Amino acid sequence: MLKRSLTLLLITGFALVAMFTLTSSNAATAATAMAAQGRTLDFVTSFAGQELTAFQKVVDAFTQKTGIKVNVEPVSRNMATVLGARVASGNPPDLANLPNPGLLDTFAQAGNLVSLDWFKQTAVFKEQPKAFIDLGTLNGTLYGIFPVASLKSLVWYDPKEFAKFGYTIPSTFGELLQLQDQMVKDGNTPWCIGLESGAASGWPGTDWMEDFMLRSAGPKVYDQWVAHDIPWTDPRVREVFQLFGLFANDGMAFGGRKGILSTNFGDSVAGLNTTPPECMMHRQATFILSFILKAHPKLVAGKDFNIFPFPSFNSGPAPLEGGGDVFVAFKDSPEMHQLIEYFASVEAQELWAKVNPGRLAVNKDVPASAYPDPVTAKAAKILSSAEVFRFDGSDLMPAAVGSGSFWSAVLDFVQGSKPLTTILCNLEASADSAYKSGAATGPVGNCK
Amino acid sequence: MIAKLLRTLERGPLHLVIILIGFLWLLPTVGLLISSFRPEANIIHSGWWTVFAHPFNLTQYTIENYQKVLINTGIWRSFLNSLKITIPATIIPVILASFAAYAFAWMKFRGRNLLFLLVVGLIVVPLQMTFIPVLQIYAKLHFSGTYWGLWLAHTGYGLPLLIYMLRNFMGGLPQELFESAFLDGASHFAAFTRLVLPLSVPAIAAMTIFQFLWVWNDLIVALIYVGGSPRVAPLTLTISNLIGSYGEDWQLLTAAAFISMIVPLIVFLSLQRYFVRGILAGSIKG
Repeated sequence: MLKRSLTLLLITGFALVAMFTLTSSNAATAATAMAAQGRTLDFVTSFAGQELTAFQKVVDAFTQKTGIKVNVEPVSRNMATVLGARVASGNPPDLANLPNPGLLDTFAQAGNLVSLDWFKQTAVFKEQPKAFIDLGTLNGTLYGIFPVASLKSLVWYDPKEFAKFGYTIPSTFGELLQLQDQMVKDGNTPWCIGLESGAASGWPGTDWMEDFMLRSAGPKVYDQWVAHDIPWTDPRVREVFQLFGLFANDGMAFGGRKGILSTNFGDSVAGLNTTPPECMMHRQATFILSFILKAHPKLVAGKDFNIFPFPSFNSGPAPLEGGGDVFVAFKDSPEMHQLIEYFASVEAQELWAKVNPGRLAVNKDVPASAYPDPVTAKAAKILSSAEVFRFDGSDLMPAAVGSGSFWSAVLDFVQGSKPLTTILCNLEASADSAYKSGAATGPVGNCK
Repeated sequence: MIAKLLRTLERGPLHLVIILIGFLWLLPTVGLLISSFRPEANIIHSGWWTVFAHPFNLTQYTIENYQKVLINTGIWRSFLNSLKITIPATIIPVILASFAAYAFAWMKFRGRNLLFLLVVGLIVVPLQMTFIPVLQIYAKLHFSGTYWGLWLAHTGYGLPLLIYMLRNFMGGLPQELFESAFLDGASHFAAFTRLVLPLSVPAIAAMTIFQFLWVWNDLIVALIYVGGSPRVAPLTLTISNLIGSYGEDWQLLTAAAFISMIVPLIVFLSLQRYFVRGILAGSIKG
């Protein structure tokens, strides 16, 4: 009995294997047939969820227009692993979007990327802001373009609450400090800050500090800091941590230090519009808009929540920090050229802005009417009038620092469990081993 | 009567501890299950345990998360893809491993122990290290992007442990059995199909569950060898894309997790009577 059922099992097993083999070999031949036509581009993307749906719509419009098929491969958070393996094994995709320019440098230096210098001869090139072209350039060669970006140096607030208490939008850092003191006097909590983000907890704090660095020490020092030309023990870095301490502190942020550490970054913004509001202001990038609408679906952008740029130290226009995905190509083909040109065009970015709230078009000629709501349109206007723009510094640092020790340093600092000197010395030690260049790399800091 | 009562009393603390451990073990899953039936806004504002304040207030439950996951996410296609990947990638290595295990246990040939040591050594090779060299070979053979390549990869990754466990189980069978079989003129094939296979059912069932769960839950091997396009992507990849670039849609993940749990649960429950016996496979060497 047992024997017979086992034989049966074996036979079924082999039959199943044979069946699947047949069906899948058909699929395989279909795939090779498609590749032979040469009209299918392979695009590996890190977009997921709603952003992936939006991206697919932009790509579909391209396929409809040109007849060139694009095979979008979403790999979510496994970008570095998948790309690394596929490039090393000689089977790279045609294109990919990289979450930060640091990865672009890695692939470009290894000679994996195709030069996009031809792009400079196209009509759409003139519509690209210089800051973003520079970010996609390495050693004079253009390797990547930024179709859409997000703006980070923004403060979100509820205009109704501001009107109720007679608060005005601060235009300098001093006014911001006065404003938050006034809020405390009125019995309000100035800020909602949430640092929890699973394994990435702490990253919202790095954005705060990058904004301070741009303002207190200026863009030049910011670049030195990111490149590790100045050590983490530098007094200017220390000042940035201390400035953050003025905001992320008991009494200044909802829930105090404990609340800051345990609240999810996406949930904390909901406090702006609760009744009564948990806080008056929230500092976060454009993408947080979708989180506000998720927490309170009935809110109207511009009426129930609005933005102002995180003010500068003097009265000049605020320096801005942002992020975005850089689109790079691993294989050269006329179809790839068409796709890159399309992504950079007003047409694609207008559509993109429409279907993906919180993403700002980089192309200068995209009209404000492209944005579905007045708040995103305002953010786009702030971005286009920027005099100083810098890419998110922690994304540019080596991963061991920018997505590692810097995050945990933020948490340690807010927790107050270690003295600041120890935190900075630990950071400097991790930077020394993570950076390959940078004037401060090596035994420079005065830590023992 | 009294003895029975005493025994119950004696066992009381033991049962209490078991219940407590079971409760702690299940707690996260129960929380996930309750969260999967709660509206998104509630999940943000309060913990899942707050439903117990009014457990029969039905307005606090919703099936929206399940609806969203099941419609328009391509989850059905990836569900089928997962089956297409998992079934061959379980059956092939288990069959091969049983043959190999028999050979290592009962066939005498030169270098048998050395070969077996080599196979056992392969257990500790991290599979991440093999991606690039294997992909290089696949690129030449035009294997990348096909299920063929993926099955082969899963077979390779599964075999060392399966062979090791099954060999130790089969090696534990009484030697007299084989001696009398061979005396009666049985070939190795007959000994394998008539003696070893029927006796090894518990071990084989247990190994089938292990291999099935491993392949079903795998994300990275599939991603590397067949890529992420929805046409071929397994369930794990589609689910990981649901969550969104900023993790903003994690409430969908709660529902999706339960959908992906169904198949492993069916496999486990239908094979579990073998599993308990089989889990001892290889624990005592004969």
